[in-house]
Amino acid sequence: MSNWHSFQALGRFFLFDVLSNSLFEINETVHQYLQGQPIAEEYRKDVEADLDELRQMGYLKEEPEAEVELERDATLKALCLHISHDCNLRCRYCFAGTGPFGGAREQMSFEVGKAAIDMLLAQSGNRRQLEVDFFGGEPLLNWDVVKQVVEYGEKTAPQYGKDIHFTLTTNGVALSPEIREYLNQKQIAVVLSLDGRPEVNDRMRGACYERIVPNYLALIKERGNQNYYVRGTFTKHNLDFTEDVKHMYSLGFRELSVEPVVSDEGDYRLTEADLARIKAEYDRLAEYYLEKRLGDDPFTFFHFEVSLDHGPCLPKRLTGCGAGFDYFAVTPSGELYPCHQFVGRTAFKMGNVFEGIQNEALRQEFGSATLYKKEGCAQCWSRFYCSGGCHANAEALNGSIYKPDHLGCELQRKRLECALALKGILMQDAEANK
Amino acid sequence: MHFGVHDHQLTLEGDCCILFISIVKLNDWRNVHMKFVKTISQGKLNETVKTGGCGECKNSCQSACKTSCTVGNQVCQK
Repeated sequence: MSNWHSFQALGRFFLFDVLSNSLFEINETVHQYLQGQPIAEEYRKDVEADLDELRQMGYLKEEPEAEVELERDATLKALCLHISHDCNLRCRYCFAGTGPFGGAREQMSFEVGKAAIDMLLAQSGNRRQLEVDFFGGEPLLNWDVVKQVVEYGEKTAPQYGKDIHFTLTTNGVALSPEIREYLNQKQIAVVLSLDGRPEVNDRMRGACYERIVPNYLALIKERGNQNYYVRGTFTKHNLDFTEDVKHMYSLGFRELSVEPVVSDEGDYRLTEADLARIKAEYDRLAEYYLEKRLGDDPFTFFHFEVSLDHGPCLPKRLTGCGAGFDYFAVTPSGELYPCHQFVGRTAFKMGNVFEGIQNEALRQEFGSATLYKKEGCAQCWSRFYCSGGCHANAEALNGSIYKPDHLGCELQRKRLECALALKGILMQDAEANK
Repeated sequence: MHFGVHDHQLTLEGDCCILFISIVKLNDWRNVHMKFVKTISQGKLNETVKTGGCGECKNSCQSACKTSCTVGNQVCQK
């Protein structure tokens, strides 16, 4: 059934109503009943009465929801600037092909960066909050242009009545005191790459742990331990990635994200055979997260942070990340692609920052690629959280943005079960301690 | 023993039990009747189709991941 989902997590049972985004805690008997398993007859009447009560309240609908027809203005929201297509590391799993995305090792000029900002501001319609991410390769290899673009954006955005929020993703190698000071002074959000334990990090990213960790620690201390994420990747070589989260916590990092590697090759790639092990590991991680959240020094784990009462609206959840429609990646030479992961897949080149988006047909295709058009999504209970999944992963692994990656879907559902259970437990704990 | 209504409070006089109907949400009342189901959070996601779509919330791919679609991990900016 796609409109509700009952599950066990953290030793408790929950019922999630998909269409309303509501969460209930249930007992094992209700869970068994909902799963079609036999239950003791003495409980049947009460179980069915409870479920009838929920149905009368509008939950547990059997019929699928009516597809929502969305009218979307083709305006820009965010750009990912590939400020450098070169890198000072050679991470084995890099989807950028160690920096150049299959092309030349080149740097973005200020002229291209300026044109990108101009395009974003001019084509963002009534949107006020805009986003620009400095990405690569390694953005710090083109630091002067990063600063020029930030300063141009700061100067120009107010003329349009807009705010540009800058983010910079870095491997930390070149994170000097001067660069840290600038990032903090300009309140630029940072995503700091680190895979966890020294041996795990250095196996895939080269011997950089000893160099980057002190840089990261200095940066977050100087910015008051906020406005950052330490972001890792787990592979087949560290399926016990809870230990990496624990390690990063022990270093002092509190804003954490660890993601499954995206690759269909290499000895490190994840396969269906790893699924049970990874799911069990998310359970371990959820237990650790709960222990810390109930203690005095909690941390956040990006995939476990969901808001039941203040999350995105339904139109946002139907349309997903916006890649190829209101979000684009800009290469060093100014070419536009649907997102950073599509860069180098020439069939998806959509225009350039000087002449704008030229492939309007492709833009409309991405814009209308809602979850209802994706294979299996309308029947999936987690559809309003992943919104049909990543276009780029689907295209890379299955040859079509409409065919989601099965392994990715399984992991998404598992993470969401953990996130909802954590939310349920923590909300009840907060209520009890009022 | 009888039930009397005083300023939106239903008081079970002569007993130590007082029901404050005025502050009890409808669903809490229903929870009294549900033996095995406890409401944690009641959402109204389906209603946001009328009110949402302003486009001011964070782009889901920019915040921390870059490799998966994390719309549900974002927060409404309204």
